[in-house]
Amino acid sequence: MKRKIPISFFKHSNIVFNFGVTVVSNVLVGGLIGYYLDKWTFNNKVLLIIFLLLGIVSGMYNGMKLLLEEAKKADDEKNKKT
Amino acid sequence: MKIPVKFSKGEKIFLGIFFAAYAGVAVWNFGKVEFPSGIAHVWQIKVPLPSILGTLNPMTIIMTALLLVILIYLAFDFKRHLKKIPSRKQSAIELVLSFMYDLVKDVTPAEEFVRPVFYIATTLFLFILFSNILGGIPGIGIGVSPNGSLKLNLFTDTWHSPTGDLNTNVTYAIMVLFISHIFAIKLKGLKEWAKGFISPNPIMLPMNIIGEFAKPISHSLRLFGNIAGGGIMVLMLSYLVKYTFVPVILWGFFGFFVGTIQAFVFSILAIAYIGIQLEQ
Repeated sequence: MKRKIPISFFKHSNIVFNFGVTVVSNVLVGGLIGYYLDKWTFNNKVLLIIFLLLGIVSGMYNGMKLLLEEAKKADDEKNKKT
Repeated sequence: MKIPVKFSKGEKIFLGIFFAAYAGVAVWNFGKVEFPSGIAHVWQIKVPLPSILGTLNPMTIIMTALLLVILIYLAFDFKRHLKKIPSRKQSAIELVLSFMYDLVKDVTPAEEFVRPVFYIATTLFLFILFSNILGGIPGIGIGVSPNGSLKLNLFTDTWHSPTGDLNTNVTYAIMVLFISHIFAIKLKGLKEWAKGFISPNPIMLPMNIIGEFAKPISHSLRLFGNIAGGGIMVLMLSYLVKYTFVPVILWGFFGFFVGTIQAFVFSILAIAYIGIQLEQ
């Protein structure tokens, strides 16, 4: 059985990869900001947890934004074709 | 379609002896190969500057300078040989550049920012492309042996790719972040730009700020992960087959194929990040 991988496969897998990287980097940035703020201020891990949660929420928010944009772009392309 | 392959008797004997010797050397080699140690270390020198700025990676600096010289020479050479009827090289470069220009024109909403964004994106693309391809060619480099002393690698490793160092990538990613915000302030004015941070409603302010800071991190780590990870993959795969196959093929795959795609992705993302900021 021989199947050719189309070029659009890379484009689509890139979207998924982008989503993952966006979410993880947002959580990472939130955690880093929280860690250093916590270290320099009260040192009781409250700020770390708050910023980590903020990072998770912002990761989800930005990831969803990215996916919605891609979906909109795909819809536009479909409308252009028909 | 099947291509018939026929060997004469002499060729058959030669190939038989060759493969038998190859297999013999491979089996003889099998127990002797050790995993190269000291590969996690890079050559660093200390300079008397405060904390973060105090360490330099000389290989990165040398290779970056070399690449800059090569690219500038190529650019001048290209300019000198410009013709009305393009030669092969000229038409290839024109094809790539016009493709990038169309891409920038689609994404950038403001007419006066199309050319600056195009210059930034193509400069990044060419530099990263050349440095990634350099990471796929065997060459001369300086490594660190397990006991900490320097050693010269003569064609046992690829050329040191500047993009395999996280410092280079972070520099470019932060540069793109600053450029995008400066362009946005120039286009919209300070007040409109600040309003973008509380765009759906003021509760989203911390999320937007964290999202902005996350952009250069994902932008730079993607390129670094692909190039440095490719190098580690080549090392592991060649160790697992005990150097029965020459790693040049793998270097070629990771350097040329993955490198070209990642250079393209990096410049596309730079265009997209600037384009998002420029939207009204």
